[in-house]
Amino acid sequence: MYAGDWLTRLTDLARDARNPRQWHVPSNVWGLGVTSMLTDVSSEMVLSILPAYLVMTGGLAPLALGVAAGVHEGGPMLAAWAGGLMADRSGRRKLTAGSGYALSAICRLGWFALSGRTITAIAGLVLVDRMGKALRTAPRDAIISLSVRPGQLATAFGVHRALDAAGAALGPILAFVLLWRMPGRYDVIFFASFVVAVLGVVALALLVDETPEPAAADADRIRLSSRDVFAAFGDAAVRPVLILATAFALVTISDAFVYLLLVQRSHAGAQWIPLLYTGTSVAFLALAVPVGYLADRIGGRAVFVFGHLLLLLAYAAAFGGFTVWPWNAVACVALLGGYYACSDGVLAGIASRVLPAATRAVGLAWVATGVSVGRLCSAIVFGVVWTRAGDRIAVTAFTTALVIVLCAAIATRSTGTAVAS
Amino acid sequence: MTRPGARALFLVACAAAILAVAVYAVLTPPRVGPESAAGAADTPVDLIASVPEGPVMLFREASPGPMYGRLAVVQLSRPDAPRQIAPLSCERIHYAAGWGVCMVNDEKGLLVRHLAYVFDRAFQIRHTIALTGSPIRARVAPGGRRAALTVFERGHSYAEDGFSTRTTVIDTASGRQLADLEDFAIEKDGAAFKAIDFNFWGVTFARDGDQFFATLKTHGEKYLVKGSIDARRAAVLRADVECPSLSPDGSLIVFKKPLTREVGWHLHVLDLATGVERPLNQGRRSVDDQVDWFDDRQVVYHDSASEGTGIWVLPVDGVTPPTLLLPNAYSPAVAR
Repeated sequence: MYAGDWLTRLTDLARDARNPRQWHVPSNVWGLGVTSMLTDVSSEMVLSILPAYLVMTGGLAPLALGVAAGVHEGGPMLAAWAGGLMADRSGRRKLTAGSGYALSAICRLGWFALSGRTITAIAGLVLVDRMGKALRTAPRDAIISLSVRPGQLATAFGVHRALDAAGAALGPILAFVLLWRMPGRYDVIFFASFVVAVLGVVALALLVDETPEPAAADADRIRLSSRDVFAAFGDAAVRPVLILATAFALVTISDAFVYLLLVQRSHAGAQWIPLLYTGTSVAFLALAVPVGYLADRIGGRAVFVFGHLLLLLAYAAAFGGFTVWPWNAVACVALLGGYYACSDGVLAGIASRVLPAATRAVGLAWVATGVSVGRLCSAIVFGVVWTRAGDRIAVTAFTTALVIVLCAAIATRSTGTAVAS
Repeated sequence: MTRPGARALFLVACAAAILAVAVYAVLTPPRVGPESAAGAADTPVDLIASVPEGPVMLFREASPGPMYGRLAVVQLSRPDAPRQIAPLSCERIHYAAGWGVCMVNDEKGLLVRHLAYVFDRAFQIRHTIALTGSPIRARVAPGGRRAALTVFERGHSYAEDGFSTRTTVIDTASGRQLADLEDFAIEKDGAAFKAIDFNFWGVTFARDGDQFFATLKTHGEKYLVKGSIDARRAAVLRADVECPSLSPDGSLIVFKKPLTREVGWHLHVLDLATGVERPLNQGRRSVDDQVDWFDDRQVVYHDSASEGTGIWVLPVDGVTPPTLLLPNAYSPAVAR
């Protein structure tokens, strides 16, 4: 790429950014954003008060933590495929996504009924809740991608992810305020969580319209069989995206580990860990829309790769020996938020561009699965290495691997530009 | 585009949701905690505003009722008299020469906070120190100028099973942290001794407030170390010693010796001049506490025996069995 080329691009970018129409996203995106926000408020307000949650983030041995994080990430994979397949075969993406949201809402009712009884029952419900989440993710992203024109995909996903992250940040705050005003009233939190989850389903029903499908897609749908589940592998345009996403996920250290090591090395208490999650969500929601806009202009792949450079810097802030608490934590959280803004919605945007409309939900489920499997393996491997060889070696190994994948991604840019543009 | 009126309908649904939560919160009765149920004694409570003169014992009140968890005081001469209740609640207490430490788990907020208060003779909090884990041991030096605080820090080392601890020493007058024992230079058999899994706990101070004894655990071994806070160093004296407590005259140490055949501890007394140790007659029970010296010949500690849970007193002669001094009491600190 020539310097002059960049200059032209930057000039275009600056001119475009002042045009309000570039920032306008369809109402479906907002509707799904509101739905996701309410659902996240509902789940996070409960998760933030669950004692099991604190144990998970602070009290388990690294190997157990690795397995738990891995199951959390990778467990509901089957549900993700099922969701994608159902949505594509029936063409009723809204209904499929809606059933996922409804499943989670029913779990909230279970939480309310069981509140304060048994931890195992609640843990089981958390898993069902995660399955609901897996079920709805692919059809929801498919609706978003089908609601906007291709040049606006990353911006739309940015808007959606920002609202989603806002919900994740708001949930614990809401729980905190409720507990502060009504000490000991955990039942009110469980009840409010259920009501907010139902409100999320209502938002989906009222604020989101299924995009009418082009006739061509209709014809495709009839031919769609279970073999098409693997279509994503056969598609030469999709494969690089799948490989890119999975490769990066494999060398990513789970947030749980990053936060745990960060507070340990800074001699700060474990009570800061929930705040680090919230901080990352806030940074993510602040950056998601502008980064998405940028990705639509300069190419999603470049932004996605750049995001992992931010991840590398986040590791440097967390593990680099700068024990200037809390500034190392602030830097780490801001960089992690930037990484999520560059990767989460942007990846969905890249994948949506290359996936045909008829198999888009299944394809998105595949990409999500690639990321999940990658993270599952990474969490378990990191836990094992930490237990056997110590945290320093584990961090060094993963950081080195991340640098290698980054270099490889930059080196193969020429083949990847087809994906990005 | 969404149907006309859909957005208005959604706003109505939002309002209905807020209303539903509010109605639920107001109409359902708050769930009552078990401690505020029956059992609250009607006996008058003797509230005090300062530590009484004369030989006293401070402890954590553990009788069920509204005073549960409060710092309480009895005169050593009349332990059966009604307990005097101080305006502090503590998990772990120690006190000497007008300076006290009160370690607490503050569970009122969403996040549990672990704190240590440095208080004076009038129970006024002079300093509040944030702790990195839940309190387990507290000790104020005989002169009152320093205190050692030990917390459980679960997430400190996962390299092996079980717990990990952190022990810090503070200056009581300023509230400043003077030392973290893990930063000290440790010596064993004349050579430098260092490992990443060092855990210290159970500090006991000599009369000068500088010399100290403590437990060091590494690789599953538990050592008695002796050192100096000012010199920031310590040396390993012997193995199989936990939670040492130095006698007022500085000649004896009573400690928990880990049992080899089963899980638990047996109290032993060590003569520092001769190096001879012998078991105390604590009975068939395991005792898990850092004892405090009641006088020159007896120690006090918490135990939950079948005869009663509370503070027991045990002569160090190795023959006399323990007797229950204060039922429903915890964390004794004797101040003469």
